[in-house]
Amino acid sequence: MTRRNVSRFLLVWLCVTWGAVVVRCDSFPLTWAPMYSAWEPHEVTSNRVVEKAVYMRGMQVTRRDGSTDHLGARELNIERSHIYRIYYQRTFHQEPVGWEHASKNLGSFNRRLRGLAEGEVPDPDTEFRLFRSLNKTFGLGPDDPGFVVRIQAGYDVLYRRFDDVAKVWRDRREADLRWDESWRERW
Amino acid sequence: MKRIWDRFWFTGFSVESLATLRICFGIGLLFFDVTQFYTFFRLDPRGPHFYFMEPVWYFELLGIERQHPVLANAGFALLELATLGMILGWRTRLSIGVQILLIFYLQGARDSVTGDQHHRYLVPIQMLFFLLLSKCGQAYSIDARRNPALAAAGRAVPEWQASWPIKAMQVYCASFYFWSVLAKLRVTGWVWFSDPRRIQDLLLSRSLIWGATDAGEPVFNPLPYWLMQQETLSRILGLSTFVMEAGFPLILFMPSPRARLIFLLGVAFFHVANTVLAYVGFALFPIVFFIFFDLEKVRRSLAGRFWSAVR
Repeated sequence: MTRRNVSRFLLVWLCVTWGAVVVRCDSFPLTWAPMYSAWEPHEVTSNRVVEKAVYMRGMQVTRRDGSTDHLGARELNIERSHIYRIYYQRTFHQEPVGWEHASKNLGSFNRRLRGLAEGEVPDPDTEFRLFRSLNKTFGLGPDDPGFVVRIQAGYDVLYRRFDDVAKVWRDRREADLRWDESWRERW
Repeated sequence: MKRIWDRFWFTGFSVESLATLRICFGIGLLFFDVTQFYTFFRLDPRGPHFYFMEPVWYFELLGIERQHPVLANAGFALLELATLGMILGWRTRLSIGVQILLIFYLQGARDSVTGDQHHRYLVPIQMLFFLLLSKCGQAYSIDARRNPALAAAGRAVPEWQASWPIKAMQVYCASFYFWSVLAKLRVTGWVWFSDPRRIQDLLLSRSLIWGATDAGEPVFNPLPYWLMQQETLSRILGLSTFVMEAGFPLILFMPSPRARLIFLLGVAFFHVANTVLAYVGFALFPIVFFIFFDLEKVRRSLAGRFWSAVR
């Protein structure tokens, strides 16, 4: 490449990388570096009580034939951090953090670009995706007797105020997800 | 304007600088890759192939829907070999190209499981891209040793051709940190830096990631839990994050290598501290900071000192 062409190339490259920042594009290898950027001020903080044995064993699932068992890291053949996210986050409708980065405090330009109305947030479709992954991993279709139709999980939550962290109170959170037969069309 | 542009992009480095960068960065990558992809070893090669919850965009495009443990481990082994190939300068361009493809695949296989995208390879992949475009294989390489014509061409590489890829890497790295400040301001606002509860929240949640006692204290690593109770320290940490990220682009205009080194050691400390306190896996990310130094000058200086000590 000649020096002039390198300059042109660099200009295009700068436009592409900075363009990704302007439109809040976070699709590898483009980014706007939003790591850990989402946070809301609050007085009371809540933290789940993590129990490795519980999340590694996984969610309790009920199959179409009525039988129940657990699907965890070993059964799904995924590593620890993934089953952690599935158990504590996806089962409780907590989408990947990228969804929040992509939709929080969007300017009007980026809202228009994504076809979102004021106040509208994109639907991450977490529940359907979870049922789809758990079933398709084992090649199960909606009519199979082993098809997972219900997913249950639970954990304790610790609450405390920032100005008195030693004083904690507990609560319990339970997730109980049911297969929606209308999802068959999207299967 | 043109003179400033040319002076910034096209001066400062030689083909040997590029080659030493290729070697040092490659050695760092060998370890960095392990920290990113070692978890594939834990998968059962005969177990089920997990159906991705949220595939990355290029997996969606290519129709890749499942995690294949054998493929992932083979890809990881090949990635290490390709990295070794780049370090040695053996079929340099091919080695770098293979690395880029494998990083795309392995990162996709890891991040598509639950859809949580990690940002650790963004700067390394840009560096590999510019090394691919550069003439970094024309010096200190097996390719150049085997092919005298290539070695001669390497010796004739002008300064401008050797400089722009390294400058582009520097600009990208500095921009990456700066974008991070912009993102925090756009998503959350100045309160991200000014309110100590942001840092306290992060430290508390991460301190409890391994579990909690009945009293709500962490069962492992009490340091972040202790730190989150220090409001002033948490405030300082938030503000220093702003200073570091917003001020990072200044490194592009620091003429003194010593000043750059001190600044980057501070940033490296920040990453290591983040790993220890908040389990943010950027501890080996500072391998990219090689780009801010002319490593050929460092090599000559070290070699000179070594030989004078020997004599």
